[in-house]
Amino acid sequence: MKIVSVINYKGGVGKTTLTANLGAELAFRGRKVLLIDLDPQSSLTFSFIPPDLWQKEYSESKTIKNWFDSLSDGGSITLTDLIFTPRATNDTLNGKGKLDLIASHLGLINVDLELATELGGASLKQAQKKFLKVHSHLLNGIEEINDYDIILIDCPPNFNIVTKNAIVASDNILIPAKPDYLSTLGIDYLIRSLNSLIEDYNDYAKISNKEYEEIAPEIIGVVFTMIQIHGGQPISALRPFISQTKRLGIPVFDNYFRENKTIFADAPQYGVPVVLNRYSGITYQGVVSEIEQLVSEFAKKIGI
Amino acid sequence: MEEIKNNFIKLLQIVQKEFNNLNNDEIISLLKGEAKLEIIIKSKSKRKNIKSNIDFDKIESELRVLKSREQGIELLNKYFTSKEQLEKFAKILDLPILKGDKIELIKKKIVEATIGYKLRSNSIQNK
Repeated sequence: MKIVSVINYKGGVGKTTLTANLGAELAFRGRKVLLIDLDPQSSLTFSFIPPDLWQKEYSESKTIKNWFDSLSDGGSITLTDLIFTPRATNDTLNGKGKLDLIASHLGLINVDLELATELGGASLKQAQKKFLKVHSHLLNGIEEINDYDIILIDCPPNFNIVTKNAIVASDNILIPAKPDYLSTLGIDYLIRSLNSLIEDYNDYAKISNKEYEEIAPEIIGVVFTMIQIHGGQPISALRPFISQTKRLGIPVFDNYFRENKTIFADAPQYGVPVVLNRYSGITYQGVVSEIEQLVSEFAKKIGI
Repeated sequence: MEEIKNNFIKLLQIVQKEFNNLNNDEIISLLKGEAKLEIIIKSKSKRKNIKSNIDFDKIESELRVLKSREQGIELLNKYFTSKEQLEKFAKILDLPILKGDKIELIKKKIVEATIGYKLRSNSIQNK
């Protein structure tokens, strides 16, 4: 089972759209996919179920927030307890695949503050031990899940403790980014933060008497999103940022996500990601075909 | 005859490529006769005819190993005397240049694309 975090510091880069479409297409191809929504904005959750259903059936006791909250009382809830199968998307699948979800909660933002109070300690050794414990909650929680080919974690656009939990639990990191000046700076910020977290975690793990294992989440690549196309390629204003990212030695996917407000704007409203819809227009079919190619590239890269 | 046939196939491929850029609404408009296709034969750009002895590859290589933006501007000042030459170099580097861009801005774009991006990445990543 592969665990992949989808993350970028910068919001509004199409992170959730990428996660939803990637998960849906993999499920369509027969993979068992679990999506975990760690973003308090809950966009991934609301891409598969409407907010009113979430409010009625999940918000009280079946979100990732409940799991984090339960850690303080010894972990009375398991992640498996929170898994559900969004109906609209799964109705469009016809093979052995499935797409399940653990919903987020708007109150997840407060969990970071609560986790932060668990850090620190009277001595350096104690502080290091607490650091490892606080950052490996999700890693331990996911260990009990084994019924999936892949878990995709939609991270919030920050590098707080909940996000760090996702990184620690992951085999790979997928970075969606827009090819513009500020978004590509966001990639550098993210890499710096990732390296710093991995270094700290592993330094402490080494001296933990094998209580904690070292981690090695690998950046699988940057997926450029919201691409405007002209003449069969990204417009000239975007191309320099794509080539510069490649020149910096950061792995970049050959395929990308095209901008198309007509089909991306309302797809989440109906609970089925764009890639699973059948469109008659040539342009829209082209968008779907590009997502399919991106998913093939992704599957090949991580070996599923 | 064979040549005409091959050229016709190539022509259809060009048309097909252009059609791929149309959205469904545009295609429907064409079918309804509300829109029409226009073929514009582009004459050879004067810009392409600029005779130049400048070795762009060499300049690019020199730029890419420089450590500061100032050195980059200095290098461009040394090799380029006209806006047209700079525009051509920017085009080779696949940079978006607008008609109204002044010489100084074109130089900045070239320097940013060959030197600046590494400087800002390294500083953010604390290298």
